[in-house]
Amino acid sequence: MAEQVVNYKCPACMAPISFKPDTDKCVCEFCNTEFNVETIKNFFADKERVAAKTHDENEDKWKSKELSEEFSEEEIASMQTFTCSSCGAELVCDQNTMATECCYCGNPAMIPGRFSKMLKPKYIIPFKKTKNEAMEALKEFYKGKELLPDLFTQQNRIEAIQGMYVPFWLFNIDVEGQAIYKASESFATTSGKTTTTVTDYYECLREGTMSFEFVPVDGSVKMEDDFMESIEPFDYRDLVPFESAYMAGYLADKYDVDADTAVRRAKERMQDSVEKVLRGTVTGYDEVGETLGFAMLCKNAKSFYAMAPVWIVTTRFEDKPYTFMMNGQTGKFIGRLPIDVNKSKKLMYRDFAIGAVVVFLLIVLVGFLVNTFL
Amino acid sequence: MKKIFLVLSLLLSFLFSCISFAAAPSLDDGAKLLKTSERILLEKELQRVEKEHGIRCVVVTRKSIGGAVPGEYANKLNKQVYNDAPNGAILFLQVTEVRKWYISTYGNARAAVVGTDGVEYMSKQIVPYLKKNEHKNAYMTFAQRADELLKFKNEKGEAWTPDSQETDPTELAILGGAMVGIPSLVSGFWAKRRRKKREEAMSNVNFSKAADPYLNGDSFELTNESNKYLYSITTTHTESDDDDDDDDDDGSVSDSSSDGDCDGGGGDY
Repeated sequence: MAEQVVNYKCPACMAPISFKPDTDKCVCEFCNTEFNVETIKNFFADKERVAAKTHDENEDKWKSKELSEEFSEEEIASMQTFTCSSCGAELVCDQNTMATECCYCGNPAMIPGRFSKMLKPKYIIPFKKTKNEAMEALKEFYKGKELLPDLFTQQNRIEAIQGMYVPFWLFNIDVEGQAIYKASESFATTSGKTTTTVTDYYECLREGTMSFEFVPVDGSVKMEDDFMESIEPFDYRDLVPFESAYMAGYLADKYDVDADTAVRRAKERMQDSVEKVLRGTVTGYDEVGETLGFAMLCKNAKSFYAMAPVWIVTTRFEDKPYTFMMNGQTGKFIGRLPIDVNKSKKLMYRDFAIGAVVVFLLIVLVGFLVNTFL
Repeated sequence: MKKIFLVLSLLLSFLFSCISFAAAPSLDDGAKLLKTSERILLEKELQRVEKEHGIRCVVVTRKSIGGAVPGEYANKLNKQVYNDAPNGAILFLQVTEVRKWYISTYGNARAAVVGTDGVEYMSKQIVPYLKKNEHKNAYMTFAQRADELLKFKNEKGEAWTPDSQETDPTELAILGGAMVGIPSLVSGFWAKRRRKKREEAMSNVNFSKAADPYLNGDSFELTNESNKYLYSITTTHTESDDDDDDDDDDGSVSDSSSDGDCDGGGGDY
């Protein structure tokens, strides 16, 4: 039976190969042989084609076969099994998995059926940061955090650190914006002891066009949107046409939020920017106040499916999981650390005491200076 | 004319004191501002102060002093009429026609109410009563403050100055409250802000509000702009005259004189 999964193995020694960050090469983890991405692409192209076809054929069979058995429909929708072409072990994946790793033999396993034809991403930003850099970044992230529980650094257990390509939609959109602002200017005249101030109010209409390029919106339901927006921005100069070889050694999911849904979030963010740009053109007034009206028309919208590199670090402390993420390209590290409430209170009381003493002394000093010199 | 009137009135006062074959009375209410009962009470108080300190403590009221300078008039009265006490005299003069007052000191009393500080201390408490035409209260206050300053001089051996004034318990309570309250409020606010900042620093996960980094700056084109006048609001502010009136209102000393034997100060009310 033809395989649906393609394992990226070293043509020389059959050991797993993985993409080497910040290079254009894949490297064998055993014999250290390096291969260009292009070489890997050509080497596995035929196998991927066959695997993709097999995947398409099996997709329908699998669904109809399993529907009547003990799994619920939801479970079936979210879970599928594949066979590792290297060791024959069963790989259990969800319906979005594009690339994974065999948990028995450690071989990178690609599921070409998930990134062929219409599902093929147009671009990919290859990893530039390594696993070690992600570990270092986590330690650096702890530094200077006064409210971190003392036991967190000692007791928290890193459960997993995994490089992952997250599906993103990139939108190019031309925008026509229209906004009305309320602005005012004041003039003051003084006659004797009376000052008269006249404030004139105006309604300022501004219309303009502008273009946004590659506004990213994450296309994965399981990745939290605030995390994904926090690791931005990505440097699009490193954007390259998609090749599956870049995913060797990393996890990858295909999108499960379609472009039509994702574009709404892009528009929300663009609206804020358009409003700010148009507001900036209201000049010559003392104050530009509330926005009385706003409208935005999007034209020539184009979407691109792309994969972005993210290191995901999962730790556990006091039975609670904590997730941190690092932009696999720029190294920007984000996360939410636990707060030691007692420490927070103690530091607040300390600040209060110091502040009170300083202000008291300042009052005494000012009083003394006023008494002495005035 | 003024001088003639001054001499005449002094002469009359002197004659009056001679005729009565006794010391001139400590209360000379020429302007008839006090009721009999008030006069008795005040005379008692003045005599008490005089007895205690061996001075003359005098209140003189006049409808008019014929245009004479109140300071000169009071000093002359003090030196020539009320010079019979061993420790000098302190005299309060009120002239109703011109709404002026003056405190003149002489001898030991002068040493107790040095310069305008002592006079101002007294007048700040007297003048508000004068403004309200509460004459008895004004003169009683004069007698009590004179007593206070003389006592201070006797006890401390030096004249009263604003620095030696005992702090009012209410003021002390307000000051104490401010010294504790202000630092507590400020540092409480500051400490809370620091706590919030510290807690915020534990997470750098946020939604991005805008798409600014993805805006092609060169692509922006303003296609239409128009500004329409809506309405105007006019506000006027007039500076308060309070500051200008303060000196007179609170009994500050605006006239002062010293002629060698006498000292003192006065003002309007």
